[in-house]
Amino acid sequence: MRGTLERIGGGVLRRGRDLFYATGYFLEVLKETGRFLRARQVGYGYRVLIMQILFTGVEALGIIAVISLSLGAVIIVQGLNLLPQFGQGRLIYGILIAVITRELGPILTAFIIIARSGTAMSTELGNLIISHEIEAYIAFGIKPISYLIVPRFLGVTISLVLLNLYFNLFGLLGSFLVTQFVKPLPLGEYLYELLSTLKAADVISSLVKSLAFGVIISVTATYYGFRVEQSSTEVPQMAIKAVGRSFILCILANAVVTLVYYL
Amino acid sequence: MDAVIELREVSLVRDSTTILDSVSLVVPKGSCVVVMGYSGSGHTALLKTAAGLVPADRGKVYFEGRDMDRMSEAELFRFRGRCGFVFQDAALWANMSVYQNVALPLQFHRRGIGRDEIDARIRELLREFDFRDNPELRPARLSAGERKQVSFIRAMILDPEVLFLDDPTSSIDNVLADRILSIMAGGKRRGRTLVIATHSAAFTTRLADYLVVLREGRVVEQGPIGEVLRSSDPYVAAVLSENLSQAAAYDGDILDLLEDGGFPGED
Repeated sequence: MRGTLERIGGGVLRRGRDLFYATGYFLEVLKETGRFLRARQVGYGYRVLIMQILFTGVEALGIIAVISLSLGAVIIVQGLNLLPQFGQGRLIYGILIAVITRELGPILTAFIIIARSGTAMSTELGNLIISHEIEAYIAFGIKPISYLIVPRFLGVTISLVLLNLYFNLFGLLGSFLVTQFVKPLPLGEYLYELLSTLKAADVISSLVKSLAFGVIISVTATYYGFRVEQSSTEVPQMAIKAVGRSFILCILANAVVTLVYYL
Repeated sequence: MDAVIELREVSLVRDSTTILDSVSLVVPKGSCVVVMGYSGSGHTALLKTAAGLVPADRGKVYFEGRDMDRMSEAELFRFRGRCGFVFQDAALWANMSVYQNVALPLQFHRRGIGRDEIDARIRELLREFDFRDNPELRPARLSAGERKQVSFIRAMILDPEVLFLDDPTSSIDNVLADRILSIMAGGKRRGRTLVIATHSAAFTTRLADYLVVLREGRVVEQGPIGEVLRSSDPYVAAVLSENLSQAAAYDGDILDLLEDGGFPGED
C-alpha cells in the first residue's frame, strides 16, 4: 500500500515538475520571440526562419492540396445526394464552411504538420544534443532558444496559418469542381452562396485555431527535442512523445475554441 | 597572479552518480592548467563546468571574480566572446560548411564586421592550421582529424583570452599535433590562458604550469607541475608515468624528474 502511494506521489511530482519546466520553456520562447521581432537588424535567425517556412509550409503544399480537394469533393457529393431528400439543399454551404473552414481545415493541417515537421524538429534537436552541437552554440554565446527555436516557432506558426488558408481555398474550390460533374452550377452563384454563408466569426475561429496549433506543435516538438540527454535511443522516444502530446493538445485546443465559438 | 577562472567546492551529480566531487581549482591568468586522470575520471566535466557549459549542482564557478550564476545575459555573452572551447569530438555544426562553422561566432560577436574582414581572418587561420581541404565542405565530408582541426580554428576565431581544450590530440596525427602545440605555445607566450584535459605528454611537458590529477571526480593532487610530479601518491605516480612515459621525445627533463623524484634545478 505504501509503495503504491509512493509511486502515485512520485508520478504526480514528476508531472508537476515537467509542467513547471514546460511552462518556463514556453515563456522563454515567447520572451526570445519578442526580442527577435524587436531586433532592428535582420539577424542570422532569419535564414533559419525562411528555411523553416520552406520546409513546413512550401513543401507541404502538395499533400495539403490533395487532402483538401478530396475532402471538399466528398462533402459536396454526400451533401448533394442526401440534403435535397430533406428539402435542405442549400444547407450544403453551411456544412462546407463548418467542416472545411471551422473544423477540419485547421485540425487536418495541424495533423499533417505534426507528422512532417513536429517529428523532424524533435529528432533534429535531439541529434544536436547527442552530437554536442547545442553545447557548441552555448560555448560561443549563441543562445539555442533564440537561434534555433524562435525561427522554428515562428516558421511553423506562420506556415500553419497560411496552410490553413490554402486548405480552405483548395477545399472550397475542390467542392466547386466536383459540383460541375454532379450538378453544374455557375461559379458566381456558388461563390455568392458560399460567401453569404461565411461569417467573420468562422474566419476568426479558423485563424485562431491554426495560430494555436502552430504554437502548440512548435513548442511541444522543440521541448521534447531538448529533453534528449545523452543517448541516441532517446531521440525516437522523445519524437514519439512530441507527436502524441501535440495531437492531444491540438485536439483539446480545438475543442476549447469550438466551445467558445458557440458560447 | 590574478585568477581568471576559479572553482570553489564544485560538485556535479548525474543520475545519482557523482561526476565531480567538491572540486576547487584556481586558473591564474596567462597560465596553462592541465587536467589529467584515467578515462571517466571527470576531466571533461571539469572543463565544461569551468567553461560555464554545465552548471554545477553545488559550489561556485567564478570568472575574474564574478560568480557565473549571477552574470547577466550581456556579461555572459561577453564572457563567451573571450573564451574558446575545443570539444573532444569537435562538435562542429553539421548543417553548415567548414567556412560557416568558423564564421558564425565571428558574426555573432563582432557585429558590423565586413565580409572581407571575416574572409581574411578565416583564410589566415585556415593557413595557420594548415587546413588544406575545401572550406565549403560540410563536416560529414571531412576526416576526424580535419574536423578536430576545424574545431581548433573555430575556437581561435575570436582570438580568445581563455582557451579550453578537451583532449586536443585525439584523432589527429603527430604532425598536426606538433603544429597545434606550437600555435598554443605561441598563444600562451602572448598571455593566453589555457585549460587542457589531455593525456598527451607533449602538451603537458611543453605547456603546463599547473597539473590537476583527478580520480572519480575528486582532485587527488594539484599544484605547480614540479610539485605534482614529485607527489608520493601512488595513484598520481601511476597516472603521470602512464601519461608522461612518452615525454622523453619532447622533454628529457621530465623523464629525469620521474626517475629521480625531483624536478631538475630544484632543491
